[in-house]
Amino acid sequence: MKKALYLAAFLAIVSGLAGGILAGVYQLTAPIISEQATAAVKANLQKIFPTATEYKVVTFTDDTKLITDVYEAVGAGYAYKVTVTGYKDVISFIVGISNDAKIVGFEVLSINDTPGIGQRVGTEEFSKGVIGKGSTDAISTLSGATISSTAVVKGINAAKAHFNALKKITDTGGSTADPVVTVTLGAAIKLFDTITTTPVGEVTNKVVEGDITTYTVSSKGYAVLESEHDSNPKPNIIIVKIDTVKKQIVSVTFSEFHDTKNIGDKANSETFLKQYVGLSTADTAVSVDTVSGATFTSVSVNRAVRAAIESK
Amino acid sequence: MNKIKKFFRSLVLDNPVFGLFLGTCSTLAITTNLNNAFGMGVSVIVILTLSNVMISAIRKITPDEIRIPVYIVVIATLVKSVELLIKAYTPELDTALGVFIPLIVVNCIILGRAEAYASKNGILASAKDGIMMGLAYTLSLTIMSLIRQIVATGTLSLSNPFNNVVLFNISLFAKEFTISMFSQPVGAFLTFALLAAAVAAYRISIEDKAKKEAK
Repeated sequence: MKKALYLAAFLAIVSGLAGGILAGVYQLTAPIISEQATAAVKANLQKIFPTATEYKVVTFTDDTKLITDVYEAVGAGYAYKVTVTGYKDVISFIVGISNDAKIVGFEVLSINDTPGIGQRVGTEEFSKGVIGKGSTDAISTLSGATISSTAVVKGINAAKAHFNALKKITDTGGSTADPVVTVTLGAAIKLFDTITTTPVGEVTNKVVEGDITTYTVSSKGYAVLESEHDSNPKPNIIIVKIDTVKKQIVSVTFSEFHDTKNIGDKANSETFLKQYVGLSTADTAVSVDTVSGATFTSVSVNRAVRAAIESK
Repeated sequence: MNKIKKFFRSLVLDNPVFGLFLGTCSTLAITTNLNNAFGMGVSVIVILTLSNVMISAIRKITPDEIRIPVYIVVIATLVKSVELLIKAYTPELDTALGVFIPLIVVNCIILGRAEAYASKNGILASAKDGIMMGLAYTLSLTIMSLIRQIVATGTLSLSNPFNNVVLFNISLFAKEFTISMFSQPVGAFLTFALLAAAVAAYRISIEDKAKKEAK
């Protein structure tokens, strides 16, 4: 019994001492820490509005609960400190909107998302798509870092909405722009390749107008070939125009696209489709580069073109 | 010569991370770049040395039955005080290390050394043990983050934690050849396994040698 009391007393004394030390250190450092926090915010505001000399804290209401602080840089504009939920952790940033309704600054204060993926919103790659936009313009998300960038765009939209309400500007722009999709061309594939197992497309319509013949071709894309998840898969419909006199392809365009959004539709792009323009229909050795990451859809285009050529 | 060899062996074989498998959680989490490694390493050296000294100083009056709670209270107080002091007086260091310092409370190297060494040895010896263990921990972090940063980003960079000025930033190879998986937990486990295997192989080779000599 005596021993137990002694142990309890010892632990209590140690904890008490520890608490005392912590309280002392806290008392000593708390004012300095809060001073530094304001100084850090000021430094960031100064970066956004270099000409402003006076800052006022603005009281505000925000239904989205994303804006944490609003500052008015007197004579220059408004800065919003926004905290949004990213992929792993909260992302907090400051966005500055000048009095002429332009976004003039975007500074990420803290981000803890995946390096090389979500953290891209903290780099120039993202900020260059934000700075210079008007307060009613839509901001593009980053393809490949959708969760983090969508969260940040949502936060910027909250700041824009507050600014627009303050300045009585009506927002007519969309809230989110389409992501910037980068099309990278990959392996070359011959028009008359023999390796691909995808069946040759099926010509469903043919219109002859002078030299130019327009073929409507139904070609099996990813949606049909990998149709486990889709009860009613649809093929891609591709329009191929061929100059029958010069024996050249005039144009290849999509009429209906049914493959995966943001993946297959990379093949539905100028970069990929313009490769067909001017190709000879008589030469079996010609080839185009498939879109890397959208191989199935690229091949379906290729098979459609072949069907059109062979249908003569 | 022998002394250096001994120092090297104790750095590798008694290495808290790859030899004793202590503090692996923080090792896996933070070794994505050199800055983190040095930041965490320095914080651990300071706190480990201080906690070893304090625990060694009170080792004679601490009742054996409640030593673990006492150690935990001492370590937590120390870490929190250091955190507050860093926040107040070196804010640049805080932006660089801020996230790691609370992690040190649960770093089992600290408690492990308190229990295994400081509670049984004198103050000076404990301080020396803290510095040695901290150095070995820093070395492990540095090697792991060197591998992970280079493989994952193709660049190697380091900035001064006291003012965030970039000291060097070398691009070693093009971005197309990087394996970004190495900045993810998966890469941490792979790197960790490779290095732990290397240390184990070194240990076995030394033991074999000793056996041969004994014969």
